[in-house]
Amino acid sequence: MTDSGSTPDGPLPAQIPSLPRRIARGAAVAIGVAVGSGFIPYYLLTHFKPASVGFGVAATLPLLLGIAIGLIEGAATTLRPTRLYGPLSILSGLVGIGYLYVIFQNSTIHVSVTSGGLSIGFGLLILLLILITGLAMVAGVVTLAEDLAHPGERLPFDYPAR
Amino acid sequence: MANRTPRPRPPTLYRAARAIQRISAVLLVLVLIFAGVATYSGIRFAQGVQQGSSQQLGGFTTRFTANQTLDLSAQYPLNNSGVLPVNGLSIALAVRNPLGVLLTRGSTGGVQIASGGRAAVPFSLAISLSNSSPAGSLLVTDQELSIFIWANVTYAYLFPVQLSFEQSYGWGAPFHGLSTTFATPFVLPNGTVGVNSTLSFSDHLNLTLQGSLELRLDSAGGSTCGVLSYPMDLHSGVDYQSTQTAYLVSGCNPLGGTVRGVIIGPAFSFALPTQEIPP
Repeated sequence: MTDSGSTPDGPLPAQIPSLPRRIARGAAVAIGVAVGSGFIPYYLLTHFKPASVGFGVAATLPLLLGIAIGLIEGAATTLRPTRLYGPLSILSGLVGIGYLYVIFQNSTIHVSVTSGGLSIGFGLLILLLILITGLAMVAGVVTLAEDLAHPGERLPFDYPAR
Repeated sequence: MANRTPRPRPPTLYRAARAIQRISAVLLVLVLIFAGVATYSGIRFAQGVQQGSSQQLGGFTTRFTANQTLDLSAQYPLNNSGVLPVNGLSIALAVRNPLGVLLTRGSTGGVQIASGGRAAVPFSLAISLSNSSPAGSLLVTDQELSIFIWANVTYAYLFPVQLSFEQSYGWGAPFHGLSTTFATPFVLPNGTVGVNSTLSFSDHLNLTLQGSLELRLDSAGGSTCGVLSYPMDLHSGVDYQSTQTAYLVSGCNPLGGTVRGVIIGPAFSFALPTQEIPP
């Protein structure tokens, strides 16, 4: 499942963690990302709804997309030593951009206050996050290009032997 | 101490990918921290805007002007308790009467408030008191006005914020309960008909009234039967009552007609709502 590392001057040792350890790490990443991008937005949206906070997206949508991003990120972490890491990073970036785009289209929060209302637009913030996610996706593209051109070349640097 | 072989320089693509990853991670953290600070700061600021208005808005100073308008001016207090400065804040107000009719609107813009600072934004609202204006009743009737307030600002460069709310304001009319009553007409030996007319009202406006109030008694046909003049030097909260005698034009009967009042001050003059004289 793993690729071996090599350099032009000779093979450089790579110490790739065992599959169970990578699965454990991938699970931790998946849970962290799913909580951060799925469950926390879901909680905030459902928690503030009774307080007359209006948001144009159903709370389950960020939850599902956040879980999807978490699963892809977890898989990418687990499969980092393989050539699937680049495509999974790109896929994660694409789903992340889709997730942010959905929020961008509804990027104004309406809050009812005493005898009136408060509207806060955060479209520019989401655009910035889309740019950052795009940047992370570019990193995945570069990694994919590296894996295609020089398979296994990055492994000694990703997993240096101690 | 063991000899350590220097690690070879990672390949270019690897370095490029890691550099991009690190840059995006750092940017993400910075943006999230900034967004968190801006959100917290914005909420504090919005609370300050609403708190300030509910505490002090309504402390209007009023002034009649020469072109039949009533000028209301106020200082709108703003307290920026957030951690970021506020730039380019604009505030708009609209005043409606109890029937929902728009009486006036005003706005101010370009307000700057430093973090933790306070600002008193000056406002001036002009209400037309011409005969055709729906605001005419403000002169003679106390009423509960609705003040709609909008505040717009792009906060922390990223967040356009619009705060809007409504506030009621108890308006005290300067001629509240304006009434003209007439006693039984009498005839002078020379044949002239006179009638005693009593004018009464309460000055509920925070304004001193100086000048005179001229009343014109018109017949149902529109011809002027007589003129009355009441000198005034009134202070807020005072009940006014005064009786004057009108000498009517021969053959003119004001019963079933109207009383038209004009208040004439040192620098203003405007008409009061017309009163009907019972037949």
